[in-house]
Amino acid sequence: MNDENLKKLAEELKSEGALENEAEELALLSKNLSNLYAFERSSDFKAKFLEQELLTKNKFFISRQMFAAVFLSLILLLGFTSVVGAQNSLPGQPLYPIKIASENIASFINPSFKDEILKRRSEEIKELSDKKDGNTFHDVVDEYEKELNENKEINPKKIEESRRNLEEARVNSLDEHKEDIDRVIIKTESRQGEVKGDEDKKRSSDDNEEFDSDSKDRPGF
Amino acid sequence: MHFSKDFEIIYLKYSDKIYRYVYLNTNDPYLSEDITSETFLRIWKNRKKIKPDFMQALLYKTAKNIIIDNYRKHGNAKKVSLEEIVKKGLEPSYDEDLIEKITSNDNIKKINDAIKLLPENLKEVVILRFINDLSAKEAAEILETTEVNIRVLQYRALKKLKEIIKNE
Repeated sequence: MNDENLKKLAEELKSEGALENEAEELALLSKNLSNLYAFERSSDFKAKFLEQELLTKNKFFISRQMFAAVFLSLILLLGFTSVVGAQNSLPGQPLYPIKIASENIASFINPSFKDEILKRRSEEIKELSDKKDGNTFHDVVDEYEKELNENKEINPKKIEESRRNLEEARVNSLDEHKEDIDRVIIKTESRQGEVKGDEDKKRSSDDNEEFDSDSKDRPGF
Repeated sequence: MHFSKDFEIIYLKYSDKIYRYVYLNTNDPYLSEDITSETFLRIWKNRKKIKPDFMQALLYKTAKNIIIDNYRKHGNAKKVSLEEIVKKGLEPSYDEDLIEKITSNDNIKKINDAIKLLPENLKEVVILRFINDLSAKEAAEILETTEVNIRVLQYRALKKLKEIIKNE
């Protein structure tokens, strides 16, 4: 306590009823108290506490980050496993919606994946026929037809594979499903014809272009 | 208060005052260190809810609550409560040089004994106003009273303390 504060305190004490001498004595007592208890813990000691405290907090922070990273990795792993596992699922199975969702994403990124989707539906028709499973059969056939109609540029190889799958499906299918399979086989063959026609047209137009460019290059024509 | 740096500044500014406050309330230098550490750990834990303007008052109030809790749990035995500190992964440590200095000082012992005999409200005023050099306004904020009342109490407290010392 400095002299100014000491004087101030003496004045305060006087205003509370202390006599002049008493106020000075009490102010001096307060100064002695202040000096006697002016001890402080060492800087090293305080630094040690802070170091320990901050270190503990950092550890806590790191462990929280690690927990978040492990949790995120597990979620990603689970998601990845589900998507991979779903690829072999059949309609009506719990993972089938994941398969459809992943196909939608894949075809959005790469439109040519639509050919693969068509082939996959034909494989599903075949597997359901092998299992004599009639519950979701019509839904898959509808989906197959939808893909067949919507896909304007089907890869000839994929459509041929799809056709073969349908032929094989027909062999083991329930009698009540044979009519549906025959219908989609006919549609598939018809699309195959269109695809083949398109391919032939393209090839002949390419040949003509090649011929024209060759003619221009040859002297005398 | 959000950052480690703020916590460090607050600890360096107030920890000795809190230590002295606790020491004069418990008369135990080891327990005082534990309670001081616990006070700051609680402040850190609740740092997002704390307004910096009221930091000093909050530190004293937190320390006082811990002293009361400790007294309720262990009574006069003044058991050192290290559970919370150890639970937080901290190694309890003490400034042995300072403790030696305090415990071997006869004047400190004498005044400690005298302060102990003061009524609770006068004891608080002596510690805050004259040992920790807080202003009447700061002391009033901590004790949740008015500055005028602090001025009245400080006169009574010094008068009483002088009387006790004289009679010892």
